[in-house]
Amino acid sequence: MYVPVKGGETAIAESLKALARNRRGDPSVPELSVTQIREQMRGAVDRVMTEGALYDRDLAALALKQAQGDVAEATFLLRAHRATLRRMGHCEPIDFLAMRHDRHISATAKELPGGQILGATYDYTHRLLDFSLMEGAALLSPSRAAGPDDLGAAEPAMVPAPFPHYDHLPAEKNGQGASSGQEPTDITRVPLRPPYGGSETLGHLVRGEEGFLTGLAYTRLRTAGASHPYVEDLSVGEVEVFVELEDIGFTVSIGDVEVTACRMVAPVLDGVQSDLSPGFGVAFGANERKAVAMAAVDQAIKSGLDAELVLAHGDGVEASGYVSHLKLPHYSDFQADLETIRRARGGHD
Amino acid sequence: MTETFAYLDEDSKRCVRRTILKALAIPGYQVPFIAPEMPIAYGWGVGGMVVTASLLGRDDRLKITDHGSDETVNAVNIRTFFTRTAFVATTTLTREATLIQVRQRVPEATLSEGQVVIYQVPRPDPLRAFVNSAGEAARMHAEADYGRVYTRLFEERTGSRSVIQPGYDYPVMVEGRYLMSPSPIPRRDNARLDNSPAIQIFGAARERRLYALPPYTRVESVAFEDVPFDPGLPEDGRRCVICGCATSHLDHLLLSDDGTSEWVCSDTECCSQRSEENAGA
Amino acid sequence: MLDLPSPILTLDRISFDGRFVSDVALALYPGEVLCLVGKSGAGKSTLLRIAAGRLRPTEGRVLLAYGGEAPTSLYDIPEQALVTLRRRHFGFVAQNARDTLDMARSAAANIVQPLFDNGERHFGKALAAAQRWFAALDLDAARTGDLPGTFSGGMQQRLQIARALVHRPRILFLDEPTTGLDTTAQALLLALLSELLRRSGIAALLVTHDLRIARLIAHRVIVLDGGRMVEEAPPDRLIADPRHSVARDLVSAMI
Repeated sequence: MYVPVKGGETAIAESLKALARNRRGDPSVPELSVTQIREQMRGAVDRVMTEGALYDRDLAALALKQAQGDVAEATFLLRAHRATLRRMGHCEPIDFLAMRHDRHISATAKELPGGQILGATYDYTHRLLDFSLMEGAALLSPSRAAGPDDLGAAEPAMVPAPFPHYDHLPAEKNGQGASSGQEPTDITRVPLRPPYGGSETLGHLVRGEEGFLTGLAYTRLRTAGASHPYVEDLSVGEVEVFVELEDIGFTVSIGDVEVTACRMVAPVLDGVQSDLSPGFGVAFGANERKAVAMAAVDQAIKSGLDAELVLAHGDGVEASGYVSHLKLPHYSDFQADLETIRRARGGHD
Repeated sequence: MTETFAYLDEDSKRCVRRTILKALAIPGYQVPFIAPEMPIAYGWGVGGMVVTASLLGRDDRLKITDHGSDETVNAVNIRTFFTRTAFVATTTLTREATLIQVRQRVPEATLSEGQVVIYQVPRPDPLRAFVNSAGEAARMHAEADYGRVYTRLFEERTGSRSVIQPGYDYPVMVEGRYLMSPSPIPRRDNARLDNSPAIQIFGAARERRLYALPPYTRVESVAFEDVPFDPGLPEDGRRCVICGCATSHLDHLLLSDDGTSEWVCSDTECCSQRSEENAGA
Repeated sequence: MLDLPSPILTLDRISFDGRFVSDVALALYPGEVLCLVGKSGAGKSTLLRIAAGRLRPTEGRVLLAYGGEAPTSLYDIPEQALVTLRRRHFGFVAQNARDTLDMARSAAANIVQPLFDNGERHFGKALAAAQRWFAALDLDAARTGDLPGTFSGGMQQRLQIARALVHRPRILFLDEPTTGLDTTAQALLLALLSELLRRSGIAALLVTHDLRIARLIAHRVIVLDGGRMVEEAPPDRLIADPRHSVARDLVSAMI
């Protein structure tokens, strides 16, 4: 029962119990393990890591379990956990050209150095429910489940030839992110204020809510006069993360992370000043929708879309927090509004 | 897998066919239609697939191309979909095909009466390049109020900071009445829409619009009375590295990993035909 | 009145929301320049927009009559027909150039757009028209391709005037066209405008709060106050002998 005025303590305690019951579902069904989520719900895990801004598959899986698969809620949990962690420093700029690709495609070129690698993608699947998976779920015996061998061993990640992909594109416009060569802004410590720097924009976009960015990118595509961007390069694979140890003056590798990166270009048709305008998107894990949408929005910002509209509204945790706050008791301000309306109407009636 | 022939149920197909008839009756007019859901993402050719699915019969021979090629992943994917759902015969030869679904190109081979070319269309309304309101665009079509299109053309020729008309999806006038998107085909392909013996149908599923050109419809690229339309033919002497053709539409191809590039025919059917002729000669 | 030709535009007992415009009846004759004057809030601009087919009055009719045809009541025809009629027969010059010009489109394109809107499809003719209007309004011929925002305020008003007249409309509507310009630019613009109107014979309805402008350009002046017509006279007579208190205030404001 919704009790905004009195008896809140008991109500909350009961609500938590109900939530726990809902999360567990039917107790006769075996409980989902975090490992299962990590291994078999990769899409959700990667998305939560990206928007939660913490590369930790186990914790992202835990958050998803705790949030009953609610991605926004899981992101919130991971963000909140992240806030308790000590900040050690920042890594060196990621060298995306050194990525070991599991997938590498371009929509603008017929061929790519190293070949186009289709990799794992939903793009060319037919979206038909696969009822054989239903059977697999029904048969709980592990011996009947398909082992890794049945699915085919994963190919070793391929290394493509280096840049440049194109010989006819203006190279200086073809850069990756905006942050190379300058100290990155930690957006968790620097409040958002105009003018918005390159790494700030990048940081907010990476943490930005996927649906919001997808919707914005779609709006742009349907807007009169906006140019149509192209996916110049979409890569999924592993990149190495380096950190400089200032005390000893060494740069050391601290491990690999799996990322999806998208480089986009949009033609700017303006007489002799015609050019290509770049956009860049990146996400943890395999998350192409996010990377492509982010690149499209990044390009749009670079060619005039109001940066504040995007950066101030793109954070899913902030947005869902404020939208859901509408459920909070508001009777005092509402009452005041009601009085005003009554008075205004009374003046004319 | 569904049991229904060509995936869609018969009622949905009939509904699409009615829309096609209306579209054929008003050449170039965008008829609103309910595009049934397909198991392929919007933007990946659903509009074309809905039309193909609605027209496909057991005796049809289907050709599917993307960027002029029968072999691109998208073409293969759509063809597989129809061979799986309709067990229909497919071909890569234009002259053998009864239904030809294309993306980004018009087949270069000669079309004939009785054939149907189906185009996948992302942005069906050329006026949406000028106005953001669907209502205003509809009014402009109703009134044949196309002044703004010519103003932009004028500006292209006179403005010092002018916009440049795109090299693809260049709008056409149909029978002097409706402004129409030819779909994102290169400018030079616009001429192939004109006076075609084949039926041409354009499907835009996401935007819920369908339009068509009956055989032998007059289709003109938008241009001034006194300035001929520029089909945008390349002038750098490029030739196809496979068949040597200098007149067909060529794609930029990255040949080797060191970045050197060459040109190849976009239309694979015509290219291989020319190669065979060259070999025979 | 009997020796006058029949009016091209008739406002028949126009009211707007009771307060802004109240029961105004007036006629505009072919070739005539009629000024609506009054203080701020007198209802001038509202009345102008109603007359120009841009704002539906709450009461009354606006009748357009030309070439011996039966008059058309602007707000009794379908919206589409009104759009077409406005485009064909009216030109509009606003106080702020941004209200009529497309600031993202070149100066020349702005001028010739009404030609294309009215069916012109010949590039050479449109270009010649743009050049002719650039010359007629003393605009720099080298700047046809520039964006309107790069022109001075006075020059932007000239672009508006060219755009409003290029398709040879029957009536030109002007809403405070010189407000915001310095006095030299005002004088130059009014001289050009007056000459263009005299030569073309196009009727004009002009809103201003400044009787000096009315004196320079108008054949007849109507004084509005609180949405009502309070005085009507030729400008010289009005200035020499203002009868209504508002007219007297406007005359004293001239000095």
